[in-house]
Amino acid sequence: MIEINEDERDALQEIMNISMGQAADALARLIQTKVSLSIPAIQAMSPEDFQGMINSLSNNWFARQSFTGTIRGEVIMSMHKDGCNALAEVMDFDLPLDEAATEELVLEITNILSAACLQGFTSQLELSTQLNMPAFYYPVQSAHSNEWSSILIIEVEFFIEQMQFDARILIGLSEGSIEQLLIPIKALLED
Amino acid sequence: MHKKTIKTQHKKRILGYFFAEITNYFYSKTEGYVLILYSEDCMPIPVTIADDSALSRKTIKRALPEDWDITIHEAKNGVEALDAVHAGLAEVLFLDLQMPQMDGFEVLKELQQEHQKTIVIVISADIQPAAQALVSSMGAFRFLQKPLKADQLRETLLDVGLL
Repeated sequence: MIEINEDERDALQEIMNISMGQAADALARLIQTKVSLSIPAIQAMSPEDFQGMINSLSNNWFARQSFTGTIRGEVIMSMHKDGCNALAEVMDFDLPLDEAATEELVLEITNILSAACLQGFTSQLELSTQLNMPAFYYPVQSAHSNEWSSILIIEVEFFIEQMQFDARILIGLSEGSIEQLLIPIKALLED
Repeated sequence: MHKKTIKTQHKKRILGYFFAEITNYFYSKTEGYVLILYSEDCMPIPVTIADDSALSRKTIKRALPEDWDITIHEAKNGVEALDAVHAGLAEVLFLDLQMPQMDGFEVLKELQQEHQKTIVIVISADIQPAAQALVSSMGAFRFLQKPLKADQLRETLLDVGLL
């Protein structure tokens, strides 16, 4: 398991908090509504625990978007099915949502949130990463990357109260990437 | 003989407060005037940085102009921030919004109720227009986005008249 100390956790949490603030702002501007956020939760997990957590979110849609560069990993967006219609309405989708439209909606939200969030933390840490296209998926059918011997999960929840919209973003980082991520964080923590 | 109070907008500055108290004392003893002049320029301004993240407090300290004569106090939550105000350590308060125990909004509300003259500059990761509008309606002087940039902070301090 990866070990990060208290200061590094605080720093990573704050950097993610700022990044997610930018992601929430991007979404808020799109739908013209206030978006609330939870405080980022950071934890190291085994791939089995991670899969278990994903499987427990049975009433959610999922999309994944990988990124490569100085650090590598995947942004996973999980969106509660109940909130989709209200969100689709303000985003000018035709209702009721069919399968294709649902997929399009989830991918669009994923792209907005993960792009803003990744941009937020790579610019603060002066890292260089490229985001790939998002893909809709069913977690039960597709296991997550086997190359991850251990995963650092950063989890943030988004809420839009008027809509009962509830989504969470998980960022999984591969083990080598966590070391890369800690280099600029250690530098920021120095006096 | 009754004691007269001298109202001064700089009352919270420790040195200024001290002189104001002396003046009050002489007022109560004499019939005449006691005039004491002091230069506020020679006193460092007490500044408090309120943020639960050690990294953020560090970032704000790094961004402060070097030529600004201040004393810096740090607070890790809203309760500590209010304590700092009450102790005269926060003529200027850099305030985060999302904090444990008491958040930035509650601090602003409390300061407003107490009619405190603290100059509050909110520095927040919540950059949505709704948050900005709310804090300015609650008496915050300025709103700065995280990650904080030194030149933006300098500009803001000049704008508010602190530099």
